[in-house]
Amino acid sequence: MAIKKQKAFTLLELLLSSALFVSAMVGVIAVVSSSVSTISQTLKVKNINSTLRNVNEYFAGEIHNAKCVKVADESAYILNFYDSNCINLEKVVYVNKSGRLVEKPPSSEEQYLTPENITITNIDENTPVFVSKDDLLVEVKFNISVSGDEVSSTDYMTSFTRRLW
Amino acid sequence: MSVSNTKKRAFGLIEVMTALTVMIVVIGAVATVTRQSILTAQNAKDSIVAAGLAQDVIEQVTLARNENPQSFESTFTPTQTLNNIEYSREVTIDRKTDDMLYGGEYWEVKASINWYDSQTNSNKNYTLKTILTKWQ
Repeated sequence: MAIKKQKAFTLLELLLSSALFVSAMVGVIAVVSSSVSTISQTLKVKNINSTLRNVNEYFAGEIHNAKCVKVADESAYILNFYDSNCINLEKVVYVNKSGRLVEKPPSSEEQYLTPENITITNIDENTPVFVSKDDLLVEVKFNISVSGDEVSSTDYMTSFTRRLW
Repeated sequence: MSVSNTKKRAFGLIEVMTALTVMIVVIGAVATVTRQSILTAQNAKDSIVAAGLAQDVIEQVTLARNENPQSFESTFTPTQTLNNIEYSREVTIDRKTDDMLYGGEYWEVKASINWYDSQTNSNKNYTLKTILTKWQ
C-alpha cells in the first residue's frame, strides 16, 4: 500500500501564523479606529466653525442695519428689534430651550438660524448671551457645541455696532 | 537510515527587518497625518474665536468714533480668556490723509489678537484691518 505524501501546514505553523495575523490586525485596527475618530472630531469642528460664521454674518447684517435693538429686560437670551421710534416690535431673536437660535417676526412663523445638532448656551451662570451698551452696541457671548459632545464645546465672544441712527 | 535534507524556503533576518521597517514607516506616516488633522481643526477653531475677538475690538472703536468723531478712545479688555486660552488684544489707529479718498481724511484701524498654542508650542496671531472715515 503506497502512502501519498501531501504538502500541508502543521499545527505549530498554523498557530504561529494565527498569532502573527492577530498581532498585525490589532495594529491595523488601532490605526483605522484612530483615523475614524479624527475624521469624526474634524467634522464636528467644521460644523461648529461653519455655524459660527453663519451666526456672525447674520448678526452683523441685522444689528448693523437695525433701527432700534434692545436686550429684553427679562432675559439675556432675547434680542428685540424695534422700529425707528423704538416702540413697535419688528422682530425677536432668541435662544430657545433646546439651545437653538430662532428668529421670530411678530406675525410670521419662527425660523431656526442654527442646525438641530448644534447647541447654544450661555458661557456660565453670570455671563448673559446678549448685553447691550447704550442701545448702540450689542455684545454676544455664548458657548456652542455639537449636542451631547463636550469635547467640541467652544466659547465665542464678539460685538456688533448699530450703523443707522 | 536515510536522512533527507529537504530545503524549505523561509524569510531571512534581513527580509524580516526590512518588512518591519516599512511597516513602521507606513504606520508613522498615518499617525502623523492623523495628528496634523487634529491640530489643523483645532487651529481653525481658535482662529474663528480670535476673529470674533478682533471684530469686537473693531466694533468698539467704531462705537467710540460714532460717539465722539474727534476721539477714538475705546474701552475693551486687553486680555480675554476663552476655552482655556488667553487671547491678548491690541489696536493701532493710524490717521491718514489723502485728498482723493474719503473726503481727505480717514483712519486705518488694525486689531491684533495674539495667543499661545500649547499643542504646537508656538505663538499665533490674527489681524483684522478696517478703514473708518469722518462721517459727520
